[in-house]
Amino acid sequence: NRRARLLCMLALTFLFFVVEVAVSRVTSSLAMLSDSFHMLSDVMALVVALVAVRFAQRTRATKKNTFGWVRAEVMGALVNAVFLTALCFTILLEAIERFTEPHEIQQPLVVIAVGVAGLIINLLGLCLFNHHGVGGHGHAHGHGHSHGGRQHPRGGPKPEQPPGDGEAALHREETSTLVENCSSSNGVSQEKLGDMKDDMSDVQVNGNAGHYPLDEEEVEEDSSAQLNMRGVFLHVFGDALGSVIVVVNALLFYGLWNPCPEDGPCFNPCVNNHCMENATLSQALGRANKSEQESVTVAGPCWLLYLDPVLCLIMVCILLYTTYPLLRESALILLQTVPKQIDVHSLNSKLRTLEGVEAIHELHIWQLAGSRIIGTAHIKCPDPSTYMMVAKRIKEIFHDEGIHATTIQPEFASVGSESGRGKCELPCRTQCALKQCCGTGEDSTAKKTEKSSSLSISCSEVVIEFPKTRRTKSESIPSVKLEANTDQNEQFESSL
Amino acid sequence: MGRYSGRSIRLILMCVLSLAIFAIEISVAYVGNSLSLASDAFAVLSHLISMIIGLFGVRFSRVKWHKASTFGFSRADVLGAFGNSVFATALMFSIFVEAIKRFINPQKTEKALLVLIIGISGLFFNLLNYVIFMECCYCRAPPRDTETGDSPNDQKSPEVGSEKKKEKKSEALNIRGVLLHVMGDALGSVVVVVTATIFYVRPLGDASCNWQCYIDPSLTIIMVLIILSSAFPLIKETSTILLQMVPKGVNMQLLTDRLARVPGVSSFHEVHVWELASGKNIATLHVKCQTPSDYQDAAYKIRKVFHEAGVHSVTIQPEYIDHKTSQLLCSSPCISKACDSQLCCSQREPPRAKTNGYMERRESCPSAGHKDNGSRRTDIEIHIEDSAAEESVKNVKNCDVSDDKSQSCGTRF
Repeated sequence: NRRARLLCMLALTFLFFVVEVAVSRVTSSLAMLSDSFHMLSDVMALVVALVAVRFAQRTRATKKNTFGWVRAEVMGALVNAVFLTALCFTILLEAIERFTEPHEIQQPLVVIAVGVAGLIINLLGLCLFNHHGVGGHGHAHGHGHSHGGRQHPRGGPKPEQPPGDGEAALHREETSTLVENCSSSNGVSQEKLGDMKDDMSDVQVNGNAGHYPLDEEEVEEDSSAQLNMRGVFLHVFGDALGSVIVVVNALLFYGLWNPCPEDGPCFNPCVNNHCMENATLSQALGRANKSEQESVTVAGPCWLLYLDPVLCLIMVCILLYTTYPLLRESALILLQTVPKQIDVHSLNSKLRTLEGVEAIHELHIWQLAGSRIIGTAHIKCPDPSTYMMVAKRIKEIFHDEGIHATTIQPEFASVGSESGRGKCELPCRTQCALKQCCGTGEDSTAKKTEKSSSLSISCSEVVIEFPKTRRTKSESIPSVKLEANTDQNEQFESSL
Repeated sequence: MGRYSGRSIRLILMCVLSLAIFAIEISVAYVGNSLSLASDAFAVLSHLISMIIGLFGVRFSRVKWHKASTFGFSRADVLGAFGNSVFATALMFSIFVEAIKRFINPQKTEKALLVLIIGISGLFFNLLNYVIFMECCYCRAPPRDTETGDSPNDQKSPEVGSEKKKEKKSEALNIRGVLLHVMGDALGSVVVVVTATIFYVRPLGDASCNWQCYIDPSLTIIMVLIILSSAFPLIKETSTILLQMVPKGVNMQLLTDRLARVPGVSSFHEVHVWELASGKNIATLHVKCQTPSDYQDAAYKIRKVFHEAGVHSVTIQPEYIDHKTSQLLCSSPCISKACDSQLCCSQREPPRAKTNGYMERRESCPSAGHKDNGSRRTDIEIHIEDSAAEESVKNVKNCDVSDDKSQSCGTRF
């Protein structure tokens, strides 16, 4: 559906571009030529959006991209936003130039005709993309909401549940196998959890009854697609504004301007042409002094000439104002920031207050695109069985925040390392500290950004390896294995 | 720290100077009607923007963890370089359009002397930029390496050394971008000087345009092509990072082969490798093991495999097998099937036969993750495991690792 719209608009715009170029050649109007190239920039924006949509439909993982190409639409939105900014900038420069050297519009009638045609096409485009435009903004936020928005389209799992499957009744939602090893007593608590979950989903289903009529495609168009469409919308919007300005300007020009006739003396006070000015002025004055004063035509009101740049400036301001949010949103996603609706600190504290969880580190939340939020964390537990009990709760906490793709790494404290509470048990080696995504643990507000602190972490593994790195040629891979094995043995004991 | 502030002061000075040069050049370009000077001014502008981004990027990358971004802002550099390249491309596009218009409607360059003077000073300024940048920004890299305590005589030194080299190269991403811009500017100034000289030596006065008027647009187009040819590789590189692609030095096929050979691993899936910013690779995966002790054994070896591949931040999620779940599916994607569309890769499709099924499943697994093909089966294969005890775990068709080599959902191909 999106593609169809984009293709349609692309065809229209390109056609119009060709027409405008032809007309400008025929009428040799430079202004129309420049306007036609604005259409070309529109075409480019549409092409970028189309490419992004094509890419983003390949959501499967590939050799080159383990996440699929879902992010392409966010990138497309960013490219369009930057492109639009550059366009505004060039328009700004042109407007400044026009201020210093005002031009008259030649053949205003032709300009009006072409401007109206362009405006019609742009308005058509606006209607095509309007659904995704500013209105889509609110929808995007709605999508971001954690609880309600997600569960409804898949419906309550209840109705589709195969009957008579007692265990299935227990776990209507998928459970992690980590809890599978628990005894049946735990199974009971899971049942309770399952019931609670169902109630919640029921409530949400009812609460979001309004969303049911949305067909699959609407729901599927999550915020990344909307970002992309917003980029296109803003481009078309800018073009429409440009056409409006052209039409208004030409109309006023046609109506109010007194042009200099080809023949006869004419005094144009608006154009800064010093030499000619003096010549004509003296000429005109001389003749006027002699005979008819009225025959000297003075070119029309000068403020008309300045109307164009002023309107252009206004347009630039409007465009920049509407482009900036798009730029910000796509940039924030690309920067791997935490999505707005999630509070990392509260998530951290929720996780930490779970019993069985000793410490959390390397908690990372980021948004892949749209509603796909990914989280990873390292959870420190005393032993594997505690971890099994707590794993489901952890996933639920993440799920409640809207983070559904999580990778949780359990770490078991080694015997006797009380100091290692907050530190990672399984980092890479010391020299990799720089290449890790984050050098230190972030239990606190993490002002420890110096490399020295990352080195002084007395990770159990690190401690073993640290002296090793000081040695020179004598080390070899086997020795690394040996030491690591002893570490493993320690962990064995603790878990057993 | 002293070096940093010294460099930043120099950068700020250069920024101010660039801004002034840009303003002068663009005004003279309009006055003298010289297109090449205008394009040179735009080049200076994009150079200026990249310097500003470089300044901010360095500041941002020092933030390691922030409430708004758990990775810190190390990507700001990359994003800035990308944005700047796109901006430069757009500006060059508009210059290109102007040049085409000039071909259709040739215009003379007036005030050739002024244009010539500005062109020469622009050239001088670009060379100055180049020199300053070469000097200030190549001395940044070494000190970091000495601080990590890496001994250059490490057994692994060839690998580490090459990694360091790679790191140095890739860390200078934005710096390289700036350098390329500077070189493009220099070329641009040369073009301006050439055109202005021609008009100065053979002024046209009031005559109509002859061949001289076509030099300006043609040389401008050449310059646009040169600048674009330096912007595009940068766009490619930065979009590799921004699109979460597998970083260049990592071979996924090799990596997954090695991972499959780790003893204790029955299968793995959801392998994701991506690059946060230059040199910092991150990976996550889910591993299916028989027992917790298996997992702990395997975890270290898995990390080693990743370390050798150049990925140093790895998060491994263990999952334990029982007879109910198929080996291929993720046992713990999220707590409810309703979340499927928000998983980074969909879990929808059922697995089929072993090897074939792996391949087929690979294709259908995250196929158009959000699309469902209309079916709303929410109760597919992700079975419920309640209380499979350890013994049942052992009864699982415990295929040898060699068999399971082909079964790793996630990203094998």
